[in-house]
Amino acid sequence: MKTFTKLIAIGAIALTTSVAGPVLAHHSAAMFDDEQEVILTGTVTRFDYLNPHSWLYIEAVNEDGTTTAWGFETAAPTRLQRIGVGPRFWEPGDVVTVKTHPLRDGRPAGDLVGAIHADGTEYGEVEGLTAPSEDDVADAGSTTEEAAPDGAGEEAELAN
Amino acid sequence: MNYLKHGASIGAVLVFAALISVTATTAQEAGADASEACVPLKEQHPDLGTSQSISAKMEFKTVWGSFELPGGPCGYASAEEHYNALLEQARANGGPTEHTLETLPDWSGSWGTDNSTGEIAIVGRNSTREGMAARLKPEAREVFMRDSQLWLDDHAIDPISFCLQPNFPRWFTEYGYREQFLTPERSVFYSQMVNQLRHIYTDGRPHPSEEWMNPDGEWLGYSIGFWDEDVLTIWTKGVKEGILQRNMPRQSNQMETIERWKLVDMEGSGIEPNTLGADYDPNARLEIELTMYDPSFIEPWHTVVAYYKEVEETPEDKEQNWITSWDCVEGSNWYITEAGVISQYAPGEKPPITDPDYWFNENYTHQ
Repeated sequence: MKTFTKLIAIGAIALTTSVAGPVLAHHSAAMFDDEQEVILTGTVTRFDYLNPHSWLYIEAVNEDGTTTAWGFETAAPTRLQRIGVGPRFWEPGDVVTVKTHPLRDGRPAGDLVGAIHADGTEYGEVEGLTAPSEDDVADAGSTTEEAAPDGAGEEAELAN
Repeated sequence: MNYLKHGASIGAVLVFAALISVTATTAQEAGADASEACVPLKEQHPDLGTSQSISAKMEFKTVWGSFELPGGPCGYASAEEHYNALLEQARANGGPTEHTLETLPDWSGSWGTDNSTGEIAIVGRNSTREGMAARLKPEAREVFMRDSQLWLDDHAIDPISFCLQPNFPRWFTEYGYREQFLTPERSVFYSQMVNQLRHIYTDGRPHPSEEWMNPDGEWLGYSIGFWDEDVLTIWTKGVKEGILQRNMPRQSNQMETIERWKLVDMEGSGIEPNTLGADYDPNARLEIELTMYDPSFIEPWHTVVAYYKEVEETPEDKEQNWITSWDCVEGSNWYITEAGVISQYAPGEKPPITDPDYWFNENYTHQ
């Protein structure tokens, strides 16, 4: 069971960091296209709870039924722990919907803007996101073929 | 040179820099003895910054610290003069205080950075560019305005992105937990980012001689200090060249700093800290007066920094505030391509450096 009791705090931090950028205080965020928001649903394969940045990895299902491995950078544990996000906040097999500003060059990685678990647990800025449906959860376990990373950005569902 | 590509925009900011240089008076160069002749920067640039500082973006609140430049209108001539003045003051009061383990103040626990205190803050967001430029001598000002434009145009790299340590006094501004371990002879200050430890010797020893001080500087410099009752005064020298923070001026390896640390009583202060979402004890606040002396500054740069004690009362607090080692390389997926593009590894692209099977390979050769 996910414990997440500080959604208001994390929302406030997301707002602050979108202006000042301290979540990415280890490096510039210029490699991410903040004009573009990509929304993806997929299955968590790994959550690396690491300094200076944690990384969430998912396999997202493309429209043609193939899957693409995506990685999303987020804050360091020293920040995540303060807002109640522990190293098991995302676990392999969880189905999530995420919002990201993707890399400008189209490779399947980006910064993590927000995410919702299938049970509705939220992380970050989740405007425009809905929790994965039962069908999403069912579909997540039914595809295994991986698409070439080069085309992944084009196949993802784009928002705005 | 990249600089040429951005000549137009940089030229515009240099015009501002040139305007400042026409009126700047160098107090630090003249020394405190010439303070009668000096014109404080606040008087030279009344329209920059705030009433506290020409480079401050906002007014800050403090319980104990002062935003007034120590040593008079244009400050002391050097950190050494500043330190000796504080030492004389302590002696006049019967000090320095020779603490025992029982009499040292209690600064234990985990502490967090307060980003609403002073100008030296994460990403330099508490300082104005114009105000910072006005603090610098002409040559340093020109470099800063060029650097700043390169920051804004995404052509600059923060050195900590290479997993280098934050230099000093940037150490003050980084996020993560902090701890202070106090003994009568030395204090050890921990900052979680890349596990930095500062050692402050309070046993009366001087700084290392030139023979034993690294000519390239040390990341956190060499620090000595003394206690005056419950105030710890620290003089640091021998630091590395660096930047004060992202999009803040460079500092030389000649920078020296004076700090005064004190745990303050928050009762009735009405101060609302900004600790980036941390649970903190509003009645436990460490305030630090920080005065920076650098040959590139027109006058000493003085500000106040603060930390708050994290709340660790419940079992949940104690779990969540657990301090772990900070390895920078493992979680950094940042890299620069041969073409100079700053990017991130996508899944599967970064070598699996923490996998033991990656460490042993018959194809490896040490030559």
